[in-house]
Amino acid sequence: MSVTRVALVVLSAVLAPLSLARAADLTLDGQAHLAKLQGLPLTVKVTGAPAAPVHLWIDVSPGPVIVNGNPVELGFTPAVILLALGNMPASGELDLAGTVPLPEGGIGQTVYMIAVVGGEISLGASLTMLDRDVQLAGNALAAAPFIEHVKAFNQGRPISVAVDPARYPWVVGDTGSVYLVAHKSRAQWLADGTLNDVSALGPLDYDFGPTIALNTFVIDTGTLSATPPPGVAMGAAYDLVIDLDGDGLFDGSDLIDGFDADEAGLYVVHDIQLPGPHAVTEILYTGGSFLGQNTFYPSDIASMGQLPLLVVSHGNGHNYQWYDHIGNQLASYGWVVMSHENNTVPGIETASTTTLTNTDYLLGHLATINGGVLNGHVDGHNIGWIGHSRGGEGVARAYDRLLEGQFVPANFTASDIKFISSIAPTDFLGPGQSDPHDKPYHLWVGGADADVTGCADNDIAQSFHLLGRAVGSRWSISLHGVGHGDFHNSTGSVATGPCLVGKPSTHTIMRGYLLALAEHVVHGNIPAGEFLWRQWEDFRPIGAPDGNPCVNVDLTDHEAEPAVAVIDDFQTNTALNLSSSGGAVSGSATLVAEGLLNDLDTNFTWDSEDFSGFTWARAGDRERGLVLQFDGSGDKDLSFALVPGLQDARPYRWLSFRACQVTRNPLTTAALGDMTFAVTLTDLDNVSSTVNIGAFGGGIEEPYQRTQCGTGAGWGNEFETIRIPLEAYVTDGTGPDLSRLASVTFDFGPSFGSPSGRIGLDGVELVED
Amino acid sequence: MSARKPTLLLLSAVALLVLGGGVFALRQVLHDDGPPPLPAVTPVGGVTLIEARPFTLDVPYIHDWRAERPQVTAGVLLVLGVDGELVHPRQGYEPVLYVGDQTAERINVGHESGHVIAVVPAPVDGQGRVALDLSTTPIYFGAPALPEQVDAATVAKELAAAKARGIVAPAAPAVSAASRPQVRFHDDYDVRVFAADLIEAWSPMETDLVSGLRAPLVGK
Repeated sequence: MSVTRVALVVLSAVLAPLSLARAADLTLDGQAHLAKLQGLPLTVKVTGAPAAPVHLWIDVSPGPVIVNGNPVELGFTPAVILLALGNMPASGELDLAGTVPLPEGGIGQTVYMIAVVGGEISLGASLTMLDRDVQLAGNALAAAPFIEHVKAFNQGRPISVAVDPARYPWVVGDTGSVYLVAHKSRAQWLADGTLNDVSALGPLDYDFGPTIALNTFVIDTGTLSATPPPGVAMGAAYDLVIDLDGDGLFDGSDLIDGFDADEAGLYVVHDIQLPGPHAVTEILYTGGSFLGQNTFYPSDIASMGQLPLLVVSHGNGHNYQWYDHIGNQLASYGWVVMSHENNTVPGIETASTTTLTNTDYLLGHLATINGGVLNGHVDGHNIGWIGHSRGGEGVARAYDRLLEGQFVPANFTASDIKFISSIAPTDFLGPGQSDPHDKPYHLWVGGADADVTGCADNDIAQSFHLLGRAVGSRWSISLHGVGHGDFHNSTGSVATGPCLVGKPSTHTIMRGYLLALAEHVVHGNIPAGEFLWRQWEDFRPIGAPDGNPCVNVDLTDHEAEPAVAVIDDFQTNTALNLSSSGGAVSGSATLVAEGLLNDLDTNFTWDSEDFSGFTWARAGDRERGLVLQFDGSGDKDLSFALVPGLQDARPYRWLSFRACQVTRNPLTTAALGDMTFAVTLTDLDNVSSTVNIGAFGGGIEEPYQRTQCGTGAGWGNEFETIRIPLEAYVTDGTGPDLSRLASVTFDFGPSFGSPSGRIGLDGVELVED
Repeated sequence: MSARKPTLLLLSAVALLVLGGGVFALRQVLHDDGPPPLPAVTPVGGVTLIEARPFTLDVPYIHDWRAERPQVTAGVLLVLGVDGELVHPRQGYEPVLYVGDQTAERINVGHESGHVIAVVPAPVDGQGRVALDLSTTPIYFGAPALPEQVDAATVAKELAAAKARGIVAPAAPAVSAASRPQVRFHDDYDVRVFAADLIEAWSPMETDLVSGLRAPLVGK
């Protein structure tokens, strides 16, 4: 007999003598349904007939089930538990005191309960266990929402703390000591809550008031060390604790940012474009025809374990010895980097073959290359491929061939390739052949590229096609003023356009961002990930070439499902008034068209073409999006109604979308500059809150002002990803109920930022942490 | 009975449940060092034969510069004088170098020197001699394409177009002056190492290519 059946029989017996009675009551901290941080005090109260036996039933499902014809608010799943609590005191009240349980597996979970007192059964109650690890550290903002909670801080930059009294009401009126401590794991915190502040100023005492503005403080002016532990590329890890009871321990109702098995509260990052801790050895050798290899590795590799491998595939007319900036940088952080002779002139198929054969050769000859110095030190299951130009398409093609079994290497498989990165790739072979599939994919594009130009006249020269085909996590970095040759370290920028950036600045950016990409994907490095999605204006390597006025960087980020819930990606439900998730789309902004992000003519000239300037797709591709405009005649909006499955946004941390300004359009050129607008969330009770996209840094960049490709100035439409933290909508307990959202509305026009504009919009979604 | 506070019991139960459940244009255009325009019309002749060295191979290799990917057992290693703009490296389609009815493999780039070192596969006659008469074989650049996609039909079309445009084979005296004794290579790697000397001699600025081709062979 199943546990469930036993439970129902027992309950049936309890209820049998009586009809359903509701004299019994069950509350958690005085509420029927409670959500509370793990580890905080909890009071469970049961009331009922004195002297009657009290039982508490706990389950993972709310039911209801019908028992003897009566609905009982519990699921009675096989996991159901029955607790006998003795007899009801004479007072008719039974209080159970404790704390919300702390099991890591319980985070976000809800348990359901009923109390049975004698023959009386209570209504259902529930307890949702919230993660004790809360976001406290961040960058203070001058205006609402007052804080941008982040994990990564550049060394020397101030660190702030912000406590929202609506979330943590027990802090109001209290004084807390704020500690910055070396990171401890969740288990370590549970074993030892001792607080040892490591900052120059702390611990500091603060009085907490009734608003987040009052509770936002700079707690460190940039004094923390950025030296990571051995074997970690970037980020010294710290936790932040607010000791509310002043006992020098993390306990009781104290707040903590960093109570996690793996993730610290914050990371202080050194200048990641600078070399890492290892000296680098470079070797040149060949295994035969088209097996020339230029390999970089840490000089102390003999004392190291297995290191991930980055394979570099050069472009046409290039040379495999032209990527020292990549090789030296990653090897200094504990990677093996092999740049190989690439057979690009015949075409992409042959280029992809040499990517495959060289990877296989290296892994198969570790015992003989340079006397076997690499033997036992290359992790053939953690490989990244990066290719330039034809080689950039070649690495995507190589993965496609690998995945489809058209090439079977002896020493690695498709699953061993952890990411693919393409620098200004061509697109000769098109959909179905040059395809990163579901592999994490990263794209580099130079706005001044005079070879793979990105102009609408040539599908082969439109690098974004490959990004549009990637269906896994994908990122891009667009660099104004950077030429095709700037990405390698030989002569020639192969560039045209205004304000050219040049090689030194380009390589500085490459060193930092490639390290971040590789470490994030392969090692799950947490601060590295923030370099990939936080806007350049907000967060970039310390040594970024800020002194070069031509440097202008736009980033896109798209996480693979299931980390996202798509509101509208414009891939399905192609009517303008219907989102891909099935919700209504409405508003006063002029919706121009929804369709393939493909400029169909041969230029970027403004000519009323719906998708002028878009180069994310060609015929046969899938990447679609929306074009809309607001003409300066007043405020305009675009609203996405949320279907029931998307109305509870609590599991998500950000609202994310990507947008671009449409090049050469009069509404773009009328006010050339960073575009801003706002996004409003409204709940089912019509309570709303609005956040401007410029609150956390930059807006949507204007197109690079390059001429050619028709008449006018402005290169291809350059998407940027914007992530707005959902918590920004509900500071101080105001704003919509995030569990019952009705709509997401984009607000354009003079009241919200840029007075006019024509934009592309795509990937409107909710993103998990 | 006094009110009990079975904290541990409750908490353990809940824990058990949970665990079980599961800039604007600041500067004007400074320069444009992109590739030059492609030729308006192809095929284009004007290729000068400087050196031609027939070779045979102990170990055949695949000629990746044809869609049919034929096996190569012999060929001719050529040094050619070319218009540098035709071989300027570009990531898009490049003019394809043909030797008669065969595509040639360009080993170096050559846009700065105007010299291309190339290999063209060729048959061997009954006496073991490479059978390619360059005095009857036009050398030209055909329409821009990816050589790996060039098939027999394309080759035939290009050759016909070259002849129609009056592109002719090198004169016999020039062929005679360019000819070098036939050599025997073990494999295509040896061909490329040999070619490194030609590149160094005729396109000396391509130092990275030369050093790469001469990189130490693993195991030797």
